[in-house]
Amino acid sequence: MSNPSTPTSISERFRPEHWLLFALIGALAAGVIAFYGCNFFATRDLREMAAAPNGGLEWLQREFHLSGGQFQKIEALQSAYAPVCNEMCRKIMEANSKLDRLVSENRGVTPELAAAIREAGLVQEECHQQMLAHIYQVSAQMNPADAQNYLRLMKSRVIQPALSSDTAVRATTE
Amino acid sequence: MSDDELREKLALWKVEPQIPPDFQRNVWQKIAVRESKPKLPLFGNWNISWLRTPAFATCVIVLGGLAGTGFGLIESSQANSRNWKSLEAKYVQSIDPYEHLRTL
Repeated sequence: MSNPSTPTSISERFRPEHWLLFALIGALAAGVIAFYGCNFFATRDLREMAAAPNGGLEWLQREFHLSGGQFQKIEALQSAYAPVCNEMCRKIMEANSKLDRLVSENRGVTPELAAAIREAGLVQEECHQQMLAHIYQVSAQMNPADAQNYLRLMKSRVIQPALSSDTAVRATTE
Repeated sequence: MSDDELREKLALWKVEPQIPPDFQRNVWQKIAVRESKPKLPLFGNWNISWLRTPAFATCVIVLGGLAGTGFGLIESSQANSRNWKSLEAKYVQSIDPYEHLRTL
């Protein structure tokens, strides 16, 4: 004689508490897999860009909507500017280390120290001129609207922080 | 009475219980009724028969996946924003010697 209470489907083999546990564990696993999977694939593009050596230029291309031709010209300008930038770095390090040494060694403003201050100032001035020239050359390759945005961004990120005091600029722009 | 006589008398004694014809059916029926309504002993014996369905488990798993996807999208958006800022900084370092020296 058949037993009416014999389970006939898998759902009746398990107690309700077991199904609840399975559901919670499954939901947790699905959530974790979905979270890390979504995060991985959604950030892969920018992660690869950040890891690439010319990631900065790729950022420039996307941020300012550069065409293929515009990007190639700017890439050429960047390659030509790189040795200039390295030379500026060397001069800055040299002038600053000399100034730092003289400031530490002296107890008054000697002619040598004054000359070192002037030299550091000249290096800074030359650096700003070279940077601005490069920035203007790059903006000239862009579309007008993007060029304006580029100049505004470079002014806020490069030029203004380099000023010894930007209070005058801030007063006119606020 | 000797042991042999006692043993013979006990062998003759046969017990024949009278079981009702539907006794087995009634027992199984009672068991089935009790098991068809699973109760959660906590919080006053709530009826939780709907918890044993695969459909419920599937819904919970799907909801977990959707929640994970939602949080993943939020986190990836924030990570992309951070990466975008770092790429901007990378470009600025490539043209500003002072910024380049500051990050050495």
